[in-house]
Amino acid sequence: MCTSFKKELMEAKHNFLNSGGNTFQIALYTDSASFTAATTAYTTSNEISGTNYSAKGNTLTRVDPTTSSTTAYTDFADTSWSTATFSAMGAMIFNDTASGDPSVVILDFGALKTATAGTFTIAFPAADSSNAIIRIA
Amino acid sequence: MISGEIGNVTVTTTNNCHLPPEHWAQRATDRIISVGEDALPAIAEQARVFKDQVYNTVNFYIREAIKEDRSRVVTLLRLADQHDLANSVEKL
Repeated sequence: MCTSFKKELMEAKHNFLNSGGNTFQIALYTDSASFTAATTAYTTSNEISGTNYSAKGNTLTRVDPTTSSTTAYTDFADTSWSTATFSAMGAMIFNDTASGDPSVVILDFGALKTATAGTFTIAFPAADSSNAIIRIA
Repeated sequence: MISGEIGNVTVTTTNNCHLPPEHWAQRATDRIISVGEDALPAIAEQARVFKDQVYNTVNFYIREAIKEDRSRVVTLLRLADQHDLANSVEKL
């Protein structure tokens, strides 16, 4: 989780509500990308290119944030690229509405994932207090 | 103390083919029903049985939707006098 994102939450820069929330994108990156918690914003550097992939990647469908016990969490619907030919090692979720495209989280796929004239899909974890993609406990 | 955590995504890719209805049915089912690790065994078992039923239902209707959409494409192609193409799509 990007450190800048934690600060920006306190500045009300991000709105994850399904209705009226900000536009969050998921961009894919090659294995040359080297993001850390200090990453602050979307960059085209080392972003992948390939058939049916456009810069800034896919727009995510937001799911209203909720709570369970003392944990707050939010979720996104799964996203995919069809008839795709490209490889990616990781991804960045960023806020395309906020000025400067601030980053939210960096995702490491653990290995280079490749689709060839096929489907590249990213499935988000179960939306609960133990697994949801973004959790604040 | 407040801490932020990130969940793990799952990436699935295909080569020269597409994900089958079963994949999407499973994804939909997983989004609808999550069986907690700490659930009582009897309740967890009931939930798993219910989840299987949901999976079968979702899988069935996904296939129906595919057939319906393919039928729409065939109709549009026939209306455009693209009969060979329509026949090819119909055989898919």
